[in-house]
Amino acid sequence: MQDVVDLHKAVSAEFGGHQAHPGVIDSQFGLVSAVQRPQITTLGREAYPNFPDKVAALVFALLQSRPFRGGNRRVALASLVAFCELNQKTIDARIFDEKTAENILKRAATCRELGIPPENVFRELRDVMNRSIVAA
Amino acid sequence: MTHGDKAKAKAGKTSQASGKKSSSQTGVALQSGSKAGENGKGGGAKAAGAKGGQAGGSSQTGGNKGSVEKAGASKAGAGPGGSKEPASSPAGDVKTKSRGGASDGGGFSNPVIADAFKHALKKYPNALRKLTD
Repeated sequence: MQDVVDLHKAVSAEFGGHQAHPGVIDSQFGLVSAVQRPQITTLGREAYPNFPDKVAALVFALLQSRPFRGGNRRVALASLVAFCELNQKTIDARIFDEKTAENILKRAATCRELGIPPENVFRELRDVMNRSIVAA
Repeated sequence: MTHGDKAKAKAGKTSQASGKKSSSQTGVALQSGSKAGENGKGGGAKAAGAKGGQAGGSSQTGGNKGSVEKAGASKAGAGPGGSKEPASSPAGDVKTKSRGGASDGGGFSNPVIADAFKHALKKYPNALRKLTD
């Protein structure tokens, strides 16, 4: 969890401008819930058994719970890269390129406002992660 | 009123005039304030505005105290040399500190996360810039 807060501080300092709130947490429960989302078990089984599923779950939870005051999408993208590197994985930038990342993160963050079912956006994110994440 | 009283009154007037002169020569802020006040009393609103503009850009100098304070504040803000530099330097320091800390990876408790953040900056600079909230 401290790593995500550190990422938020760094991202806010780099891109936030003068209105940034580095390290300011709006929802502690949302942050804890998002960080622990990949480890969830249901009825004794892992809810997200594969690594791409876990990555998608973490990113989607960060985007949905919006734990920080600002910069939640940037933190979600930085957390995606950090989570992959912590587990010795890399993202294929040809598949998950900048435009794809921007579009899918925007849609995942605003799916409720846009009227898109969240499970559809999560499935799309999981499919992209399945295709783009490779072993380092 | 007796003759002695008139003489005392004259002496008092002269002493007041000399006091005004001496006070007007003491400081820059006081001088501009007193001048603006005199012009305002005389009904010269334009003249007062001009004096205020000279002092620091405050054209609505109606009262004496307000004009003095404004002029003093503006003089202190736009003073030559040392008074201007400290006001601008802290903001610059904060900017450089924050930029340097983020790009250097300082402030991370985990070095792997710092490396990952650098890679994310390299891989997705435009996406990180465009993503808001």
